[in-house]
Amino acid sequence: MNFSAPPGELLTRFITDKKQIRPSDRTIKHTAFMPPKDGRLSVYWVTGLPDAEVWRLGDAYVVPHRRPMIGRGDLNSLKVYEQNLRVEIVPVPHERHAEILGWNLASTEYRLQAVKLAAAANLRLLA
Amino acid sequence: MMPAAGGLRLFGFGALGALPPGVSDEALQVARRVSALAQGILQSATGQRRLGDPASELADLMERCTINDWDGQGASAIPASAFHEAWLILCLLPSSVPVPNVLPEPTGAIAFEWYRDRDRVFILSVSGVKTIEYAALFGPGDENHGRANFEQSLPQRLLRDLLDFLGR
Repeated sequence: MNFSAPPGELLTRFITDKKQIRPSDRTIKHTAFMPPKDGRLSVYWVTGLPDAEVWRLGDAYVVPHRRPMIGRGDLNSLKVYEQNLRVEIVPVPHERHAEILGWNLASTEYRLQAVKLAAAANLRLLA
Repeated sequence: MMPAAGGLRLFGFGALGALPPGVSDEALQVARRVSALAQGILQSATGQRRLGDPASELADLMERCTINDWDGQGASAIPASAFHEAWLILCLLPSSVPVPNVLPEPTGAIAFEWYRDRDRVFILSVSGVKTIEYAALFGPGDENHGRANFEQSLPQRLLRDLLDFLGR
């Protein structure tokens, strides 16, 4: 899988914290895209999957470890590479699981990268 | 308007007994120092109007983000010293600056966010280490990020950038 080649691949970041979205204009806050201290931001590669299957991934593999699902942020992988980050498939707990890597947590740039990923993402609220 | 209850719950001595197990003596001392400042400000009408909501939000974060893995994804606990710094920032912001959104960050920091649209966002963040980190989108192709020392006053450069952001 080449996430950096046009037209890009569709990634999604599942959101389980209402403080990570702005319902007023259906946008996502940067905290949804900030990496944890290990620098591995969990996402799912969902290109070609039916919408119901994408939500099922979240229900099956994200909700049990976090809180009830609120929505998801869909993002083209090329936006990740624009930030000098990269995507790698990490097929645990599912073959569609991936991680956004390459954050420099010693720099303050990672927060700006998260802001820009959040700005580029399309919020999908759970109906 | 009575939003200060959360703030008093956060900073008042009555709340300290409800802190999660394992909170250090140092953390309690920080909370007590901040308590005096907080109660003075929140007891004024202006203080309640400006700071009641963010104080309540900080109280909420103190209840749920002071243990590791508070987000279920490996987030770091937010230390008491970060709450101290966050409260100081709120108190030091000029009255002309709108009250920001208060957000927990998975790195163990507290962020203040001023949002205008997708391309215009200003964020200050503290984690209890006497620095403020910031990230700002002023518009397409116009951005900035960095770090400034912070103890008792807001760095003037940051304040200028924030006022510039709000004035555009």
